[in-house]
Amino acid sequence: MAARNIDAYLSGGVTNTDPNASLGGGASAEKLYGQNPAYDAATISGVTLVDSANLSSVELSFTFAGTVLSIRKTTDVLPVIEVTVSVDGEYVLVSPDNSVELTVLVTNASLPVSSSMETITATNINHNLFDQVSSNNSKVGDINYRHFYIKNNLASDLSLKIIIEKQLNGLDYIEIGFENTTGGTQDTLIQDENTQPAGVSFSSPSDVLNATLLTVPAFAYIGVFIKRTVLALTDISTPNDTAILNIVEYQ
Amino acid sequence: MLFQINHSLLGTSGGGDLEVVGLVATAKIYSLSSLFDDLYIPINSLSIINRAVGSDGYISINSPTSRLNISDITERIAGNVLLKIYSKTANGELYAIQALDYEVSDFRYDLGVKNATYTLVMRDDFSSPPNTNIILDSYSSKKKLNSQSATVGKYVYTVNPNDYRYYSVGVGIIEGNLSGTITEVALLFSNTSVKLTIETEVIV
Repeated sequence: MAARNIDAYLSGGVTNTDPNASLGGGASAEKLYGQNPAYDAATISGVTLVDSANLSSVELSFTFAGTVLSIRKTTDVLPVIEVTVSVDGEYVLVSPDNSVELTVLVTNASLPVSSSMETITATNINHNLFDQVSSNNSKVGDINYRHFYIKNNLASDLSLKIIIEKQLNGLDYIEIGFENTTGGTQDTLIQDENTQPAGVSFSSPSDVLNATLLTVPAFAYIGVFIKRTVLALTDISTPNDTAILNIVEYQ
Repeated sequence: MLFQINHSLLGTSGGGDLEVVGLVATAKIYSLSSLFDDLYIPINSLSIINRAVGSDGYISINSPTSRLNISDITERIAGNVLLKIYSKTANGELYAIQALDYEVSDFRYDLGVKNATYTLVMRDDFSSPPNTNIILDSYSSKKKLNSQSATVGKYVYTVNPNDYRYYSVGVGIIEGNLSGTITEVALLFSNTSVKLTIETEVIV
């Protein structure tokens, strides 16, 4: 992976910026990001940090020869995955073990004239799609739904599968479902976060064999419903309850 | 490409401070498309086998039934089984610790002269979110398994079933001078006992 082929957007209409109102209907102009990555100290000019996933701390390296970027955790032993960034645009950098991703916006003319390396850390954007599970929700149980769109940024069709790479680490769990398996059609706006979307079956595939194949035409959107289940009498608090979706691309 | 979702979960207060005295399981068959009413099924015995590789785990629920109600289960066989595991406190409160929701893979009923049982089997990958590494300082039995590989040893520990939530496949484990990874978690449940075993693979 190199250029960022896909983006995730809230739904609820083009002007909606509230994740709690991301319940289907039209796509929002608001992108769905999971973390705020930041330079620890000095920056690498021409490289703006956009988004990240599963990132705690990585070294971001720019190699002048070849104009390439890469990331690695200090514990990584495999060779880094280099991405050529000689053209302006957003790129997805992946750690050698594929567990961490960092999206950067590159302005080629501003890149350094020598190689450099900086440390990047990230903080989670809390409640970026679901709201907090209250104590009362934990006591009586709670099932909520959210919806977002994935946009194909390519000028050609894209086939996708979505898997739950990392299930929530609390005692709640998420499942995903689709109203349409071919993109370009607007999903139904559900009445509220407690309303199950009609005709949508939910599952939690952890590998591509069990995941639904989705087809997204060029520059089109495809909707994803997410169901979050909190069981009654859930007794353990989890302040940082995090899940990771992996969107696998087939071109 | 990875997308991350974050929220905070406030657990209901009180449960974490109470003494856990056992585990309880409930199961119901339900329809994803509301074609039939939910049916709660009593549990004679229950096995949850969770392994590391792929989709080779299974849940087996053995339910007491009768000639009269055997059709109640059979007509719902295309449904899903929602199995919930609860910890039970000394004052009788139940706290949910895991929910497993899978469609029925296999079923069988055995009719005897005086009694009958129905067995439902769900096959899938039941991996739960991994916890952090565990130092195993308490277990009721330990058994060495033979291994086909000379470089790998396997041990099975019988541990406190009330700690069910803390064990998951893939977690690193340390016991004495042995360290390895949990490769199987088996919860064996009957009307009279609950047994939890963890199989650990170690480098020898």
